[in-house]
Amino acid sequence: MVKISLVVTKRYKKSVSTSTPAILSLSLLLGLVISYVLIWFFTKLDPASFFSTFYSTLASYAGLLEPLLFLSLLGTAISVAFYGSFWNVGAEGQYVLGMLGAIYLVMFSPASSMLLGSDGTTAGVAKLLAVALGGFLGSLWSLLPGVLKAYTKIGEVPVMLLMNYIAYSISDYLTAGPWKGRYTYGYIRTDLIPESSKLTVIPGFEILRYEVVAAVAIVFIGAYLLIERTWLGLEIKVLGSNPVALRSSGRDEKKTIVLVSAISGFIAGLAGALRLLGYDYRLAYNIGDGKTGFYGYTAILVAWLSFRDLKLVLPSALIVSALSSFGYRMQMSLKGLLPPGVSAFAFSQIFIGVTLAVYTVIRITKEYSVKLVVAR
Amino acid sequence: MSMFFPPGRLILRVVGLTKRFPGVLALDRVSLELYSSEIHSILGENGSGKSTLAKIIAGIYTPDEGYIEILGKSVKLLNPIDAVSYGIYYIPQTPNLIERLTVVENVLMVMRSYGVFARTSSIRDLVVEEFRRIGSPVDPEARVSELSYTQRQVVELVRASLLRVRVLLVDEVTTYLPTSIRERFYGYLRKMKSEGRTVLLITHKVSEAVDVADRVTVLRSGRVVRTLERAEFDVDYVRRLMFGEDYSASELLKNALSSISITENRRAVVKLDRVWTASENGGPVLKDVELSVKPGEVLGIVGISGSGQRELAEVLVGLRPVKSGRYYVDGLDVTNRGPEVIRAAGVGFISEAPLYYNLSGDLSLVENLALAIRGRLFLPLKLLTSKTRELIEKYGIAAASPKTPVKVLSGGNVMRFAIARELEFAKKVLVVLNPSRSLDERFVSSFTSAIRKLSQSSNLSVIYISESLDEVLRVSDSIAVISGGRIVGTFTRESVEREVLEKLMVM
Repeated sequence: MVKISLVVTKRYKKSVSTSTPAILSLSLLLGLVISYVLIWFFTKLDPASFFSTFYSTLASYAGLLEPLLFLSLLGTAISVAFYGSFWNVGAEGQYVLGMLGAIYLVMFSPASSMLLGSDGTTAGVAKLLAVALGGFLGSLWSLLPGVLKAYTKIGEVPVMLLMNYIAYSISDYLTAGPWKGRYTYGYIRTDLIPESSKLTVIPGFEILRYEVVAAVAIVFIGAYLLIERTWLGLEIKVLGSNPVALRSSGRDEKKTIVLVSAISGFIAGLAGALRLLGYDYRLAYNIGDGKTGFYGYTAILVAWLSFRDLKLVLPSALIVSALSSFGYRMQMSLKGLLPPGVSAFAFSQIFIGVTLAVYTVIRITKEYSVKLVVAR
Repeated sequence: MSMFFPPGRLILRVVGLTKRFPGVLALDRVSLELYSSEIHSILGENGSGKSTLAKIIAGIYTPDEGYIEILGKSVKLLNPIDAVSYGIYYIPQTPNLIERLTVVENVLMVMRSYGVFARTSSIRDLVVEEFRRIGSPVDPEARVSELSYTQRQVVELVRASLLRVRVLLVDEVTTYLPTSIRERFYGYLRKMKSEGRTVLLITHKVSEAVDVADRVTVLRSGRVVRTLERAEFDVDYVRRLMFGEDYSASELLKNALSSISITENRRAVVKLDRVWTASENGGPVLKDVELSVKPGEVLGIVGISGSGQRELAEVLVGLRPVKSGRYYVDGLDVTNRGPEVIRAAGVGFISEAPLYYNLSGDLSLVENLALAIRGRLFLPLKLLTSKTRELIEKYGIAAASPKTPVKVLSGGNVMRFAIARELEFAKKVLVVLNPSRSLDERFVSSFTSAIRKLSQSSNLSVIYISESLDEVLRVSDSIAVISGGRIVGTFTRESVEREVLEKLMVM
C-alpha cells in the first residue's frame, strides 16, 4: 500500500520582511499575469485589451463602490468571527435573513402601517427598526451553529453551509407564497417596499446611500473597538489563539463562542437589511441563483485576505470588488473568442481564483514548509 | 567512520557573532571554537543568549555581525537546510517530529538526497540498524504520537546520525528527562563523540554541563565570559561566572534555610477528598488522592515524571473533570465546577507550559496580563500597560515593550512573565507545576524564596508540584510523594529524610 502524506511544518522564525499589504499587492500582480497567460492560451486575447479592461475597471471607481460597501460590512462580520476561530461561512444565509427581517418590518408587520403613515415623520424609526430586525435575525441564524459548536462540539462549517440553503428556501417560500406581490408583471417576487422606507440616495453619487455609508463606518469602528479595546474582544482573541488559556483564566469558553457567533451574524444580517432597503427594494424568487450577488460567500475571501487584521478589511474588500467587477467586464471582451462549450462566466472567475491561489501559496510558504512523503 | 576527523581537529569556528532583537542585544561579539570528538557545553542563565547562538549555528537565525567558519572556510548559513548540508544538526527542546507520521517517515523527511518522492522502504533497514547501534530499539513503524519523550529524542539522534552530522546541537534536551533516562541520553551523546563528532550541549544546569562536557563556555548577557577546560571545572566557580560576582553558593543555602513555620490548627484552604480522575484514554491517572493545605502552607508534591502530576494540577485548576471524590477550596465545594468558579475562588496557576496553559502567544504582554483579571466592557489599557511595565521591571523580563507579542520572548522570559502574573494575582491558592523546566538556577531560587515570602506574608497556600526533589525540599513546609497516580506518603519538612523520599518516588 502506498501512503502519500503532505507534511506541513510551521517555520521556526516568521519572515518579517514581507508584510501583509506587500503580499496582497504581490498576489494581485502575479494573479493578473498568470490569469492573462491562462486566458491567452485559450483565446489569444491581446494584452492591450486585457490590461486596458483592468485599468478601466479601476478607473470607474463608482462601479466598485457598491460591492465595496457590502463586502466591507460582510468582511467585517466574518473577520470578527475569525478572531475567535469561529469559521463563519454562513454569512450568505445571515445576509438573506437580514433581508427577510427588513422587508417584513416595512411591508408586512403591524408596525409598518403605523410608522410608514402618510406624513413620513416616523419613516426613520421604521428603517432603524427594519435594520435592527435584520441584524437580529442574522444573529439568530448564526447563533444556532454557535450554540451547537459550543455545547455539542459539532463543527460550525457544514452546519452553516446547509443553513445558507435553508435561508434561500425560506426566502423563496415567502416570495412565492405569503409575500407574493400583486404588481409584478408575472414575475414571482414581492412588491416594492414603500417609497418612504427606501434608504436615502446621496445627491451626486447615485450608487451611495447615506445610511449604508454610515453603517459601514459605525460597524467598522465598532468592530475595531470591540476587538482591540474591550474585555469581550480580548476573550474572543484568546478563544481564537489559545482556548485552553481562556478556560484556565476562568472564562466561559462556550459563552464566548456563542457571543462571537451572535455578533458576527448580527453584522451580516444588518448588511442584508441595508441591501434590501437601499438597493433591491424587494425579494425575487430563486434568490440562490445569484440574486444576492453571492456577497456572503465572496466576503469570506475578504476576511481570509485580511486574516485577523481588521485594518486590512477595507483594502481587501477593494481588491475583491475590483477583481469581481473586472471579471464581469471581461465576459464582454471574451465573447466569441472562447472555444464552444466554455462559458465566459467561468473565465471571468479566473482572476479571483488565481489571485487568491497565489496569495494562499505565498502566505502558506511564508509560515509553513511543505514536503511530500511517500510511504510504501 | 572515515568521514569524521581524528580528535582535536578544528571543525567549526564562530567569530564575533552579534545578534539584536527588538530591544535586546541577544549576542555581543561571541566567538567560539568547536573541535572534533568533543562535547562542548554552552552554559548560561535564561536570556543569556545560548539558544540564539545555537540557532545561528543551525541556520535558523542569521547574525547581524560576525561569521561562521567550517573547516577553515567562511560559510553563510541562511536556513537549516544549509546547516544540514554542512553537517550541522539542531535538536530543539521539543522534538521537531510530525506526530501522525511513523518513525521511518519522520526520518525520511529530512533525507533530502532521497528526493521528493522518496519511499520509506528504501531506508527502513538503515533506520533499524541505526537504532540498534545507538542501543535503543524503537519500532520504525510506530507512530511518533505513541513514543515517549525520550524515544522521540532518540529518533532525533538517529536522524542526525543518518545525516552524517558532524556537529550536533542539543538545546536543553535533557531538561524534561528523569535522572535515570538523562544518564542514558548522555551515553548516546558520548557515543556520538567517540565516533568523532562534535556535540554542542546547550544548558542552564551547571551540574549537567560539568558532568558531561569536555569544555564549557559560559555566556552571560550575550557575551562569552570564559571557556573552561575540564581541569578548571568547579561548580561554585562556574556558578559565579554564570551569574556574576555578586552571587555565591551561600545565597542558595540562605534561601534553602529560610524560616519554616508550620501553621497548625487551621482549617484547610484546599482539600481533596478521595479524588479519582481519568486520562485521555479513560484509564485512571489519579487514584484516591487525599490532600489538604492550610493557609500559608507550602505543600510540595514530588514524583518522577509521568506519575500523575500534570493531571493533579489540571484537577486543582478545574481543567480536568473529577471522576469521583470531592474538591473543596476554602470550604466551598468546587468539584467539577470548572475554572470559572475555581479561579474566582482565588486559585492561581503557574505551569510548566505557559504557552499551552496560561498565555496566548499571539497576544501582547498587556493583553495576557488582562487575561488574569476580570472586567466589564472596556479594557483599562493605560492601567494595564503601566502594570505590565512594572512587572517587566520587577521580574527582569527581557521584552522590548508591553505591546510585544508573548511568542517573540525567549522561553525563560515567557515563564518569568507567567510567574509574575500569577504571583501578583493569586489570592488564596497557587498551584505550581514543574516551574524549573525552563528556568535557570538563580531564577528558580528567587522564585522559591518569593513563594515562601508570599505564603507567609499573604497567607497564600501553595501546592508546588515538581520533579526536582531539591526544589521541593527547599520550598515546602510539607511534602507528599506521588507515584503511579497515588499519594504514597506525606511528611513534614523536618521529619523526612531525603533517601526516604527518593525511595518512595520510584516505588
